[in-house]
Amino acid sequence: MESFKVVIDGKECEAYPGETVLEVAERNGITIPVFCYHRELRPEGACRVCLVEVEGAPRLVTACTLKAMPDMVVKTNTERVRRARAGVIELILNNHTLECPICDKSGECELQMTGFRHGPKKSRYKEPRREKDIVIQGPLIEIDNDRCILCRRCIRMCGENMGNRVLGILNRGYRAYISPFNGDFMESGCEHCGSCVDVCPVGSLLDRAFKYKDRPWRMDKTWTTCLFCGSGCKVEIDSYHGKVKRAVGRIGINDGHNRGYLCVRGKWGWDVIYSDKRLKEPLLRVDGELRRILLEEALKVLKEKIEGRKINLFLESSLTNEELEKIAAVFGTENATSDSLGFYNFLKGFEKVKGTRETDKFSSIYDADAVVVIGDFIEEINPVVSMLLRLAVLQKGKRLLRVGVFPSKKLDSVAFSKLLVDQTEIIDTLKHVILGMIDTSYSSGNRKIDTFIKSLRGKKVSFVVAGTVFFSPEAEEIGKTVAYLSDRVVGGKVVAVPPKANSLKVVNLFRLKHPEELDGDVNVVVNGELERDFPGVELPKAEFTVLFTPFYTPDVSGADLVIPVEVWLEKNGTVDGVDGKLEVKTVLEKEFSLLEVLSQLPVRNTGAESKEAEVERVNEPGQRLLEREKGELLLTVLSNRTGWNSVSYYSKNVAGVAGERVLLLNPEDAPDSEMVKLKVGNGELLISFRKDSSIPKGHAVLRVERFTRDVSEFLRGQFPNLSGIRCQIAEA
Amino acid sequence: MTLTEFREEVRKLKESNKYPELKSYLLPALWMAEKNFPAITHDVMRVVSEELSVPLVEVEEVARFYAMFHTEKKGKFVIRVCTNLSCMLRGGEEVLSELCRLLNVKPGETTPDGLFTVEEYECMGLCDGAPAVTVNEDRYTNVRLEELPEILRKYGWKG
Ligand code: SF4
Ligand code: SF4
Ligand code: SF4
Ligand code: FES
Ligand code: FES
Repeated sequence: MESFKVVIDGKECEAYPGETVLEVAERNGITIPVFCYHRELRPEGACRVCLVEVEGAPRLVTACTLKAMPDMVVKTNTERVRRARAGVIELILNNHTLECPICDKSGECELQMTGFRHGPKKSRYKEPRREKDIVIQGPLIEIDNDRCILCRRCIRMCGENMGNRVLGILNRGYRAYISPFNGDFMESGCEHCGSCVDVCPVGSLLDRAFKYKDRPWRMDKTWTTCLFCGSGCKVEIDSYHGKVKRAVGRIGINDGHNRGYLCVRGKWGWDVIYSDKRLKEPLLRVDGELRRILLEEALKVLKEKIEGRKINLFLESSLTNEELEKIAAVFGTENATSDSLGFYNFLKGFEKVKGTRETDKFSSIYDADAVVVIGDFIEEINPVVSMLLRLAVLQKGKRLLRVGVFPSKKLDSVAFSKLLVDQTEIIDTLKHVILGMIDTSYSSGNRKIDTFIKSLRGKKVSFVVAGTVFFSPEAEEIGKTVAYLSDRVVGGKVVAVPPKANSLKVVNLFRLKHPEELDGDVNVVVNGELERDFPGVELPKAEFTVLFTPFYTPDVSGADLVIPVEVWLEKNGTVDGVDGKLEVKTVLEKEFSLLEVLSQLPVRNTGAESKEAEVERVNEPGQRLLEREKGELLLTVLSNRTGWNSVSYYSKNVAGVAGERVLLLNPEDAPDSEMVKLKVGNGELLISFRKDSSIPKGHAVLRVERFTRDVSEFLRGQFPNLSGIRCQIAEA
Repeated sequence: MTLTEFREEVRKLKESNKYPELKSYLLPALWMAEKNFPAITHDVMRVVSEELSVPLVEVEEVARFYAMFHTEKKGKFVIRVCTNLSCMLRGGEEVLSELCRLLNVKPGETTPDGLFTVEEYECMGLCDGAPAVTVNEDRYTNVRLEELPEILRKYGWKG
């Protein structure tokens, strides 16, 4: 792009077409005060505090909305500008409560800061201060409207960026205030991403979990990585004297790939460390009963029991690289299974075609013109990834195309084109796209597919695979197909968004097997919960079962030795995330450390077993595996956003906004009864359902907040599949 | 009108295919609600939001932005008295206080029998006939204080 010069405060600055004066000034180190402007939001020009003088313009202009033009001469600090600014701030302060001493925002409040720097020395206002006295309390968010300066940042954030439009302005003029519909966050569909709280410049939108808890200037601020899912969002954890007070994303300041966006788990799930279900001491089964023991004793028993024995390793994939490497060293890599098995299968398929299982960094989508998203329910599993995809369209003008089964509220409204097909047809649909990319005259016979193909031609294309794909019986076949397709487009980067924070390391370090293939003597479960991470799987019969877990999980009762470990907020280390190596840091003290325990165990000499050896290469896309007989539905079992990784089970904050357990059926597939009996193989589940016309015919979605025993039993034999499961429904 | 009937009416409105976007039916739908219900309640807004696929809060925003929509219970007849410049110069404020005296209410209030709501209003575009008063959709211009009882009686005032 051709750049040009503008002069700001006498300094020659380089500007690019489309940039605003404010952006040019910021880049050149010239500060212009702002309230309603936020770099992640569409400019609105609502507050007028960014007024500047432009040579040739009769009136002052708002720098945040003014596009820079060649040879423009701008002054940001003349007497006229200073007076206008002070006037704007005076008007805002006239009706702003004077409660900084008790306001949580104090110390990081933009009104405070800008007021001190650019405000009037005193007010000329004689009228009584307006009191709206409207406080709206949701489960996690509070709006104190007397502090609101009506900058509308929250509304733009929620409505445009998040695509939710929970918040709005009710009433008009002097009486205007911010509220969700009927004052009710839940009914308004708030997903509790916390983004509105993050961008509110004042103390109006508040984090209720933090209310009156501490002051911004005295807390320890630690940048770390949220390990609640494979998005691996960078987040600031604030603590005081070793106690966590809150998590903040700092949208627009945060330099992680998530740019400060978080989801409900990252924003509010931190209190899992204070869960009353935390395990406080090691337990050992003595005469059939679990007894508390000291860590030293536990270690002794552990050493004895694993010595010379073959381990059945059950790995949950939110562990750090350092922990995983230690685990590999002391327990071996050859006889392991993991909740990332489906992801592993996908990459296996990918590798068969590509010759490498290396996929690309998330940020590579920004180099493409078009992003093809393959997968469903990304907004539940990796919420921030779906937000970032949405923003790639809104802010960076990328062309987003979807291939999937179910509609997505977040992505469909910004998608350029979507191919929503029956789940049995995913692979065949992708094959049409492949043919269309090879042969420009190809016609699939389906107009939708043809338009889809046309919109990719000549474009630099990146693929993002995420969500339920990895839990489909076709994961490996889709892996092959995507790999094959990516070689036939320009660009062709592939981002595979891991379901869990360190799935990537797990699949690269261990040769994963299906749990049924494990043939060891001692079970070792690390960080996992059987019902959640291995639904339907039973621990193999073994001499001894060891559990490393931060919580009293349902598995504790069946274990022989239980050793407490820390949660990610108490860890230092790294993970191999969706955007490369991500750092995990903490200043918190911990009582038990997985790494410390493991370092006291002898390293196993497993020889130079290499897992890369035996991948046979193929040079064709995958094959369709899914079929459905008449009367059958394809079931997807989906953990709600709040329940993923059991966050709502251990976090009191998140429990307050937990989702429901319900079966969603297309109205045409739904029986007349109130409850249905769901049948999968030998499994049965009695459950209430709701008709939902967004569920395509022939499919069903079972939303669960937690993989309880009954759900797990119902899914017997399905692992690692959670989607594309053939099922039948009967009236009950 | 019941909510179910209202929903039917909104559907008919949609079927008229007047506008390219569903959202554009928002004002007509709310106006229908204004005329057929004592107040545009949250339940009414829910129906509008569902039928037009407009976020709930956007419906509430619109309903509470415009002065001609009532989200609180109103009387059968809404009397609007303009007190903007032209009307004020020609006695609008006096008309308002006389009305309030006759009906024994304050501006914004509804008579106990639920018949009248009196509102102080901004310019209604009837400045050429200032002072101006409207009762629901009937307009009265060049209003004199003495006329007020007569006007009220037309709408069933027993005073
Ligand atoms: S938390 Fe997120 S979804 Fe909820 S109101 Fe704020 S921005 Fe909207
Ligand atoms: S609540 Fe905060 S972000 Fe929203 S309009 Fe008010 S001051 Fe702005
Ligand atoms: S999207 Fe995943 S990594 Fe990001 S905040 Fe949410 S749970 Fe944490
Ligand atoms: S920052 Fe420019 S008008 Fe608010
Ligand atoms: S000023 Fe009263 S109608 Fe215009």
